Amino acid sequence: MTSPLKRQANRRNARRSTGPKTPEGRVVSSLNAIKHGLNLPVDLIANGVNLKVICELLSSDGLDGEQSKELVAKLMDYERNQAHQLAIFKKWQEPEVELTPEVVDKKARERYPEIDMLDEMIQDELFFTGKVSARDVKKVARIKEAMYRDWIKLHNHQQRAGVRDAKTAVRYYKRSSNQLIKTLKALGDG
Amino acid sequence: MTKKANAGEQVVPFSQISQLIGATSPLLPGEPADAYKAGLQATIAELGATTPLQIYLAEKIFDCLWWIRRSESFKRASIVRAMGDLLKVERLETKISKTTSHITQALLDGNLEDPVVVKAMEQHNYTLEILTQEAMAKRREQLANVDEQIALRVKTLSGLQSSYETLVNRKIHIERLQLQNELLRRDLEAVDVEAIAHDKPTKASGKQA
Repeated sequence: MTSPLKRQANRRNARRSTGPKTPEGRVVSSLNAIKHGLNLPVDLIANGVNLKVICELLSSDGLDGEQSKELVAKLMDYERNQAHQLAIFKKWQEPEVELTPEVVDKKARERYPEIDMLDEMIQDELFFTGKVSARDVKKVARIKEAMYRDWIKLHNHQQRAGVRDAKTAVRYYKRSSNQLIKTLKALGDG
Repeated sequence: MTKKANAGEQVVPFSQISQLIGATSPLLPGEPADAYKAGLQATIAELGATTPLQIYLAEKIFDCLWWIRRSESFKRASIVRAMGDLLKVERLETKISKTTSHITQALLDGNLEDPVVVKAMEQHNYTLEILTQEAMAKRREQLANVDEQIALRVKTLSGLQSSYETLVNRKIHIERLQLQNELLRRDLEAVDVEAIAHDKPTKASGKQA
């Protein structure tokens, strides 16, 4: 368990942390926690919706301004979720990557340029001295293996996160469709 | 235009409301735009949607149907792809080989008598049942997700249908009430006119008085 002294020290150190200072930086970091934005309330003005035209259209169904505004917010929330679902489906359509040694090597090299650097280092050693010690080769192989393992771990994590995201998206879609139906029925009954 | 020629074409949402609220194209790359448009027109005609909101709801109802169809074909394709993977000649092939591609296509077309498929199944000691079962087991999680999607779309579809009916009925109720009001107004006016006519003193009656 953390001691009170340690906790105090942690708090002091945390105050020293260099967070964003400029207003622009603060705006950017304020969006860090947003994953999909499906939970945010719909802002009709920020989305540039021409409410006047929509209200005119909806007036033919006997809806007044307030009712139209309420309905448009629900419709936009529904559309937002629909688009998110479509994006997930698009991702599912992409061919699955099978983790063969070649694939892992290629992908890990894309993520960790250090692997290429290590290879170059061995090649340079070979070029200039004409030999490479077995110890160095083993060391490089060990580091590379650790990076490959790290990439596989990351890949598996992303796969799991993808499934989790799909489940979350379904939950949000369900909520938005329920709310839309509820609003429509309330308008119909009213 | 053939189906293949316009497959993957981006379809602008049909209803005015969708366009105004910035709804995205409902099609995925490779889906036939013509079939979508035809289906949507048929749904709108069948439901008899006339007002913008009714057309929007008809569009969403058709979207749900399209999603269900899409999910079904995705499920099938997913199982077939898994079957193709299981029948790979070389387990460690990094790119899809011609044979694997041929096997997958034959399975997708339901051509189980194809000599390449039969040979690959013999090589891997698979019967069709076991192959299907293994493929389904391999994609279990994905299939469960798609099934959940289908169930959700069915629920949304029925909800949208019932709200559509409520809205159509509401319009009919409003029209009926408006007609009744009009009728009442006309009756009242008719009564007023008659009353005024009675109240007016005639020249003859005035003279008599």
